[in-house]
Amino acid sequence: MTTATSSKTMTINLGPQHPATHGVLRVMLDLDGETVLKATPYLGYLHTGIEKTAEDKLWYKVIPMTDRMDYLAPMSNNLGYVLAVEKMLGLEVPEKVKWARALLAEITRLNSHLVWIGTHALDVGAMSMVLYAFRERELVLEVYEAVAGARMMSTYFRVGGLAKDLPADFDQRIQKILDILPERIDLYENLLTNNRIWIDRLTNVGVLSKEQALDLSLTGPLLRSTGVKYDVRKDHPYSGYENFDFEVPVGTKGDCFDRYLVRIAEMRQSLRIIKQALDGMPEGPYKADAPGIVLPDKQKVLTEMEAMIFHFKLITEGFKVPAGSYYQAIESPKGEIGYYMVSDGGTKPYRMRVRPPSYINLQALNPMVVGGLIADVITCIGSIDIVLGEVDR
Amino acid sequence: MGQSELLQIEKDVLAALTERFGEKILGHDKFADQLSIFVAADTIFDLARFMKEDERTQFDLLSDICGVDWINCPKQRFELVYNFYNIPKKLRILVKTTIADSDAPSIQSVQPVYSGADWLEREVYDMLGIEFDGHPDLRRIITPEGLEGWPHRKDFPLTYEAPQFSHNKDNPPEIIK
Repeated sequence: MTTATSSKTMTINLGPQHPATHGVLRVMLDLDGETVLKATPYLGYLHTGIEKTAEDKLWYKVIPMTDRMDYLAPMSNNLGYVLAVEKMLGLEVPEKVKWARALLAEITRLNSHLVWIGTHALDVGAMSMVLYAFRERELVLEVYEAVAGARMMSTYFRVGGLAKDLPADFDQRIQKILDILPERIDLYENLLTNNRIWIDRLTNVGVLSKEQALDLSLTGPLLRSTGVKYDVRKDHPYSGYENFDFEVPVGTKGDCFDRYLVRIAEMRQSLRIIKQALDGMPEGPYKADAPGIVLPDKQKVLTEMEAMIFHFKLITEGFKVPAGSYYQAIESPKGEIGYYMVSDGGTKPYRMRVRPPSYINLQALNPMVVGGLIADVITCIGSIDIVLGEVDR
Repeated sequence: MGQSELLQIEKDVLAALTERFGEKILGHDKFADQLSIFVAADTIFDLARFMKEDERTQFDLLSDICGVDWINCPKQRFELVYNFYNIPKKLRILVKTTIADSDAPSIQSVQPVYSGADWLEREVYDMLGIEFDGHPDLRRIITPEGLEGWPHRKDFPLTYEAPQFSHNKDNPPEIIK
């Protein structure tokens, strides 16, 4: 401690192993009694060098690593990467692929927000919410398992399409979510929105003004809760989002309670998009017709020589991407996730830069908690909605 | 990659920048829907302030800062990409600048203009070793204290040698094969 304001000033260490920091986040708190003077996060406990590793992988082998950044929203991460590479290749994907990707990205948003509401409520003291939220998340994970075979690290999107066609019972599974979730979200709201304790713990806690939020480069629900209507899905539609009718919920005060309301409203909007995508899903192939970039059908590989050659060459050499760079932003559940890809014309990325929304949003922790109580630090960390895998990469 | 037509709002921004900074603006390039403007490194602080405050630009969000190591061109070895976004006009512009290779490459910090640049610049410093003059708290952020070398540089040893920390500098671990 350098600047002691009173004899009660002390420094305590929160984390890195603490259940309420949502992973391995360490925060040094300077306190005056129970009032926070300064919060300094220390990061890097989960650093795995994903950006550097990508420079040594073929373009299509990077996709599984993007899952492992934000492991609660794997499909959003995949989507940003494949869109960036497709743009650089100048590759158009079939309509069905666009719609299926958008649908699955919205399912992913539900997944992320469900985990968020469960753990956030658990931190604040509403024990039962986590059980309800994880029960509903199971529906989402079942969809992941049905389409990709894995429950968390799906790696389902490919450059030029999907890994395989949607399963036969896809419609029924999505319909089940559409039937069950709206009333379950009502249940959450019954439990929380008018709950005296919930309101007291969240209202006027971690308040950010519009100017502060923009200055700190915040995006996602954190920015929208201050009243700025910035959503990449609306402003720069990608993967067929221009076909869907949905609202962008915004808050007014920019406190933790507004962020809760914004995310709850986002879940309802996601259900709206999922319904439209399911009803209007076009027929067609699940991957683009681009030999040399997209793997040929397995049946053809076994019976036709050209397909066999393409398969072999693609797996061993990969495909080349024209030299240049492109920044692709998409709206992940945490905020704007961006992939800045640089190619030197080779079969591997020259540089992959991920704009990590969790990392940048975590900068808001210090301004949010200064002057508040130590108990509110936990509320604020929960309300920023970070995934440490993405913060540290 | 091919060139695309500039939109009117992009032309306005480019004209405003050229009027204010003259020959410090080295050129521009448009691929798909994305405009990149190349500028001289010594003008980046004034440019960031202009981008944020002038009424013709008003880029309210500094979305990202990314560093790229072009090891084969020592005169322009480090490329920094500043990602500006204007929310009301829905316009994204990448401002690119390069720094020559030296023992201590440095550039002015834009943190006084955009507070969000704080951690972004610290990450670039951590990974590429570029120093940001005027940054209030330039420390490593993701890699541990005491790591020697800059991981995102292309000449950083990969799996062939163990990374050397200051605590085992005199007694380095055996080379991993």
